[in-house]
Amino acid sequence: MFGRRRDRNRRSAAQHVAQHAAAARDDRKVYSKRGRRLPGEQAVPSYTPSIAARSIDGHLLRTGQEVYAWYKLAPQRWSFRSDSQRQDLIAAIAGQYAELQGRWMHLRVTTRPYPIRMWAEAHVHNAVRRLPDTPGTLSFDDYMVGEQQQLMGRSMAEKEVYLGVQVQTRNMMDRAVERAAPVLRKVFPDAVDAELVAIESEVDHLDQVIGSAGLEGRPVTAEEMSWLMHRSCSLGLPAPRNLPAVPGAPWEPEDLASFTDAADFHQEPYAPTVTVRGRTGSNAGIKRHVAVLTVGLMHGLQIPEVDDPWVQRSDRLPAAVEWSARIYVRRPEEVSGELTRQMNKVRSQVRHYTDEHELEPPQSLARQASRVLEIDDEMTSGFTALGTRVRSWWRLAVSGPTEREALRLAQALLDLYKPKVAIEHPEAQYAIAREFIPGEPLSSSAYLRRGSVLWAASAVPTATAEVGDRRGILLGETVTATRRPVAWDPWMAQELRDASGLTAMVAGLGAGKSFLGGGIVYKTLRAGAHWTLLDPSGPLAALCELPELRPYARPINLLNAQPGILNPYRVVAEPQLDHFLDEEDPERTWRRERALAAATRRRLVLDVLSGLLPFEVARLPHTRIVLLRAVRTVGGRPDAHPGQVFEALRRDASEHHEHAVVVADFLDEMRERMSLLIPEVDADPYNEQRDDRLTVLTMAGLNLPKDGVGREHWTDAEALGVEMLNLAAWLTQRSIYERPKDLRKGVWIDEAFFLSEVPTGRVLMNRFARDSRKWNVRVLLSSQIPADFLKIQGFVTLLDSVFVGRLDDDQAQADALRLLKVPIGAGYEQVVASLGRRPGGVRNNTERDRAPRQFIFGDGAGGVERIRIDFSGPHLEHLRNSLDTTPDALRDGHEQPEVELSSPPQDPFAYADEPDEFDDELAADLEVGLVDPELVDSTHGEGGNRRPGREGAA
Amino acid sequence: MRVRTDDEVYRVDAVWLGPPKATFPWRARYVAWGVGIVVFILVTAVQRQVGFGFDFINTGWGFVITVALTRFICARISHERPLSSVLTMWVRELNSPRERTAGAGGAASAARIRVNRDRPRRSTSAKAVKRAARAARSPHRGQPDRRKKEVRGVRTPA
Repeated sequence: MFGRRRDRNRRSAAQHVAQHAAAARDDRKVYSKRGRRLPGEQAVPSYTPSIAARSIDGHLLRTGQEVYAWYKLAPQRWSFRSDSQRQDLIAAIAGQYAELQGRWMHLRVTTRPYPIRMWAEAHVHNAVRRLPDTPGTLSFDDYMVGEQQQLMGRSMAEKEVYLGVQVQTRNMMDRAVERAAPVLRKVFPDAVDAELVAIESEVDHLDQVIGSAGLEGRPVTAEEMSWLMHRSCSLGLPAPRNLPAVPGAPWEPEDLASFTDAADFHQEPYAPTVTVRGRTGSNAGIKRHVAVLTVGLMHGLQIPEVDDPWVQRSDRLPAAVEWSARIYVRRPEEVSGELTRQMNKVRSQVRHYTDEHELEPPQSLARQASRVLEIDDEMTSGFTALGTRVRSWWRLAVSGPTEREALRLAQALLDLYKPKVAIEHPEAQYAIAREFIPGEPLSSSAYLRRGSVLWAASAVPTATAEVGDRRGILLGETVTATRRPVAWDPWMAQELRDASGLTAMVAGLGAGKSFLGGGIVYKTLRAGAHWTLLDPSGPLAALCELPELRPYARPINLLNAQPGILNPYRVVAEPQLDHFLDEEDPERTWRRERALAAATRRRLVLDVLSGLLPFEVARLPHTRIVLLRAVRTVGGRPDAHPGQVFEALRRDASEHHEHAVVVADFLDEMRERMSLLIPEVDADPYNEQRDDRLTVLTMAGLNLPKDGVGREHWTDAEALGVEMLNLAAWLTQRSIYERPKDLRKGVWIDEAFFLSEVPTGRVLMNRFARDSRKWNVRVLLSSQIPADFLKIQGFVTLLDSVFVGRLDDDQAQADALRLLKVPIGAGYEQVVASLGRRPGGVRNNTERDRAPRQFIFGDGAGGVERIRIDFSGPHLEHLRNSLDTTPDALRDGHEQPEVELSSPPQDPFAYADEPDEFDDELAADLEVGLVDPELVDSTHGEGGNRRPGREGAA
Repeated sequence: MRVRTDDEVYRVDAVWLGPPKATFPWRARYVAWGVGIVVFILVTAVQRQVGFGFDFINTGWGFVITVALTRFICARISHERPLSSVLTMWVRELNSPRERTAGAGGAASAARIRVNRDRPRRSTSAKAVKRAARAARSPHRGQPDRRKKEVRGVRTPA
């Protein structure tokens, strides 16, 4: 592979010739000496790898002189964290470096490419039970092709950071034993392993130091070590498509040939790049020019506040950058001696200028003297070792198919780091490129960087901008430090991470909520999910009209549906015994769940009926007493209905009989308006069972209160609207229990603000959070005001992922950050305000703003990034058109029938124009003053039953 | 948090201005003096080898060449690239492998391999014939035929 082997080849060739000659001599003798003809194992030429590495045992790499332990460092989130968190991270890493005094470290940053092709494979593999293709429409295969074409050439490359730490140097004895290992293993096997056994405790210590918070490194596996060796020995070449099989056994020198033979390096004298030529596997015949750069002088950097971590900065380059840093952590005594020498040098220079030549000494000398004192002070003050010094060499490599391309990237890198960090382009490219290979020595001491461990730690190579996963649907791409496609599998949290399936989607008007949600629903439907959507305003029903979804979709206008569809007793699902078979005591759990469901029904009925009564009546304490009693009389059976409560009220025999009759009269008065709540005889809408992939419940024409209007100002119709929306939400929730547990299901509730307005909203939320994991449900809740969600107690802890779009109000921005669990007041509010804002110059444009909308996406697994939603592929044009909710007077009025459909149910509310004063206290009264002990217990039980586990998971 | 390197401390420009009270009109680092002395010795040695005599004119020219060479070398070294590492990198440049444009070998040829139809056998003398006949008669005499042993493991064309 590398040039130094040429002479060795020659030597081995000579050996070979000699062996053959010997064999020929033997031939001649054969007539006289029988049986001596076969040379046996002598014929095998000996092999010495052309790299310094000699063997790999576990995560220990041995060269002739040293033993290194290699670790893979955990990625660290950097964006959307507070400065203090970032400082803590840097300090933690610095502390770990400081513990490695007297050791050399080799830091390697490489990438593991993840081309879109691999995403597509994973996605198709993950798309179980996917939607059957409808003839004449976009088939799943075409859809996948379109998705890949849209991101042609992009990669979800993953940055990998490895750290090698010197364990100890090897002496002559160790090398002799290793050389004699084949023989020694038969005679005295313990001696062979003695070297590694002796350093066991030291390796354990290093494992522990590197593994603690900060670097969070863990020993590399054989596969990872193989990957690193491959990437280093084939520096700049595309990733091999298939790596040699990785044995679990230790790597002997002969095995290393699989790395070194994969590519060879060559260069012309003083050429600006080194050429790497692939020789085997998928890279055979491929040539890359690698420009190796090194970090030069550096200004002071304000790391968490102003500047990026200086290694992470290279992620902004639209090409992969390989890093190799050699760091030596110095012992304090070494440094102090050197500092004294430097100080003496400065002093003698000053004396030389002033005393001996009567000249003014340069200003730099004074500055250097003060800096020496500063460093001395840093090293001696405090009890932490953050003043420990390092000597380090930082190399970067970029590659291109031509020398010109490689140099262009190198120039781009130089520009990227300007003006605070100088990136130099040294000579001896080949020698420096070899430094990237684990185990190789430092090639030259030029471009030495000295600094504190804090400075070295502030490079934070592990900082990443990753969000989402690699098998889900494509949402778009990140728009911060890197441009990286973002995929998200809404069921990964429940299936793999044991987290809840709650997702909040918060964005102002026109910020793209419907577009994002609709895209998620469409794409996951294609991948085999079942969705139930509650869209009060109705535009999402257009999804059902998409030709490929039409056979499997059903839009239901709830206001136009059969009477009784929103019967509060029926919207709460009845638990089935066979759903609890995996519990410890199925029978008991089932009974408890049934009791819980009955209590929930009673509570829901109470809630709804109180909400419907005129405020003056609802406020009276007697009202609550008689209602409670009536609700309890009716019980919590699923076949009950509110009409029975009215009758129970009339039959009330207590001292409040008169009042009960009054309440019943009031409710009877509204009976017509409540037709959806009370089924007609023998017309139960739940009798019909259908298996639809997509059900869109719309309530077009429903009167809902405007955003931010207090409950006391709602009109009668608005109050009814909110109660019906609440019931409809329960209805969507019910839909998840009708399908098998493992099936991927989704529920999207638009305009979910009402959850905080009705007392049962929290109960519903708890049910969602509890059952979303168990039932494999993704629950999307969208609203324009994040405060609506925050009002629900404990919501943030239950939340898994969050999408935040543009919000203009200051308070709303802060609330959105709270949902994202991002520090407030650290300047991220402006980010929320600027999401997807079009530049000022086109403000007066008469064209529609079709720029992709941006969201901050918190994926629930620690990643928070700014992403751009991108459904711009030509294969999704019909989806874009159907999700276009922006009004357009010039468009054909094809939605006319929808309006007609939704108009009749509006009539019942038409006469309810007397604005009734409702009171927030009503809700509070119900919550606090609920006198039914069973009701109180059961709701508490529901809230508290499995809460700890769930919160932990969320 | 302001982080910076310690490099400034190590960038002390150690210059020798000349003997006390006799300041030279130029400022040269100690390393330049060192390089200059070595270069001067080399230049003088070369001059002597070439055959220039040791006189004022020649030594003067030697000085001029030394200054030029020293300036040339010192322009290439700095605190970032000390003399030692520049020399190391120069050696590395010389040592690095080159692209092999000339092909080695070409098509493998077996033209020079001598090929005979038959392998040489022992001459068929009367004694040998008798011996062969005896061997054929009693094949299990304990001492197997040597020729048979030699072709052991080779499949016969039949």
